[in-house]
Amino acid sequence: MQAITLRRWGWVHKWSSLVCTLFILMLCLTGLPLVFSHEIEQLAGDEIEAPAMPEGSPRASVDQIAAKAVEAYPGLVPLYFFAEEDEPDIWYVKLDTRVDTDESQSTLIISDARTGEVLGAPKVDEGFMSVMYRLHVDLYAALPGKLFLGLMGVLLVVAIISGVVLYAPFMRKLRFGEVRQARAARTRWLDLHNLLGIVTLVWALAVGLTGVINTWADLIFKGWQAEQVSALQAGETRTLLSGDAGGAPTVDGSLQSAVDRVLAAAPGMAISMIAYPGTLRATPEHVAVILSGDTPLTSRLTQALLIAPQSGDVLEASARPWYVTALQLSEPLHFGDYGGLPLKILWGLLDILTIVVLGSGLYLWLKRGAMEGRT
Amino acid sequence: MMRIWLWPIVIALATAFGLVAGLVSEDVGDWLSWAALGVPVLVSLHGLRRCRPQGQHEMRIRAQG
Repeated sequence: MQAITLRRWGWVHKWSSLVCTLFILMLCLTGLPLVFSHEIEQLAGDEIEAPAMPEGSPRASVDQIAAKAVEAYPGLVPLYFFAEEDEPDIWYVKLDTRVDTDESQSTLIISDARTGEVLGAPKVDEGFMSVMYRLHVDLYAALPGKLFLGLMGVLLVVAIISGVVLYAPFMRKLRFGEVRQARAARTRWLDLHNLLGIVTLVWALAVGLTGVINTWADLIFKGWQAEQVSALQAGETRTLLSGDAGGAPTVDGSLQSAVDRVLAAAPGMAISMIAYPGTLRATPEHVAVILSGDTPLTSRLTQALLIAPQSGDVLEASARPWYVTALQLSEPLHFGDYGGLPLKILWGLLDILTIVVLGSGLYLWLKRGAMEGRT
Repeated sequence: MMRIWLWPIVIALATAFGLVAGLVSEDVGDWLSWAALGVPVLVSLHGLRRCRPQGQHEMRIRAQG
């Protein structure tokens, strides 16, 4: 590589890193407990669990669950039901003052799926983990905060790529993995920075890029909703189950019958989420039922079906667009939650190694006078 | 060129395989993903271990060797 090109890449690496380093360090430090949030909740005993009942106990209808939730929280209306794959006996229910708020002040509660009783509200707004979460996700600044952190993530990706370009010239005279132990501290840390940087490259790129995509989640769902509404208005929908089809669960205007009809129209799929009409994930007139498959990959890639509770027509307004697929694949690759505790531990170790790369990079810059000449 | 890039490419492919394996398959995929993602971690830990200043003892061994 020509000296001038090398200098330019060096400049890109230096500045892209310097601008984002402190933020990425913060993201790595706050992300570490977040990787283990499920385990930490369990250890702290904060987890709300459904009481034991005989297997095969009948389940309450979602209408009953909604009614009991509203009874417990007067003045609020239900927006969404969420089902967790590994917690079949509970529903998470999100409530707010109206269906069309920005949901920043919404209340999340846990209901017993068999009795409909409200079991409690997970403490999402207080405590250490909540601070970690907010710092990691939006710096307490809502969408602008998310987009800012996303921009820092883009700089991290630039820093990683320019770092890879610089790797080769630095390694011309060295064997892979060589750390010149006999040399000065800065040389040893330079070798280690290069080694750890190149070794954690793919993981850091994957987690960095998927983190950036996650910062766009709100915008992505708004875009999909707009697409579904315009497909509905243009009449470009696919009817999977019409209201008068025989053999399907009857239409009685209840939410449960609507959900049953969606499940009848999509065999082999499980409910991941139910969204009331007017919410971000539904349309003004339709209930949206978000379904997921039963393999590790398809359980992440959801399908959204719409149903008008009164007519019982089950529609697919717009198949999942590519940008929603990208977002849904980004979530597990960012969280590291798809391979049990061993994967989380590896995630944690790679996160710590990334902290060493960032810290050593900062150290190399602070001690730059010794090597770079005094420019 | 090959000398510089061989190991980084092998480790990059192992990491990429590890990231995807757990996503597309349960059980076997999980084990493969743990093993594959262990590669960058082990190589890094090995490097970290060598980042201490070289002690007198090791110096002497190198001088004799």
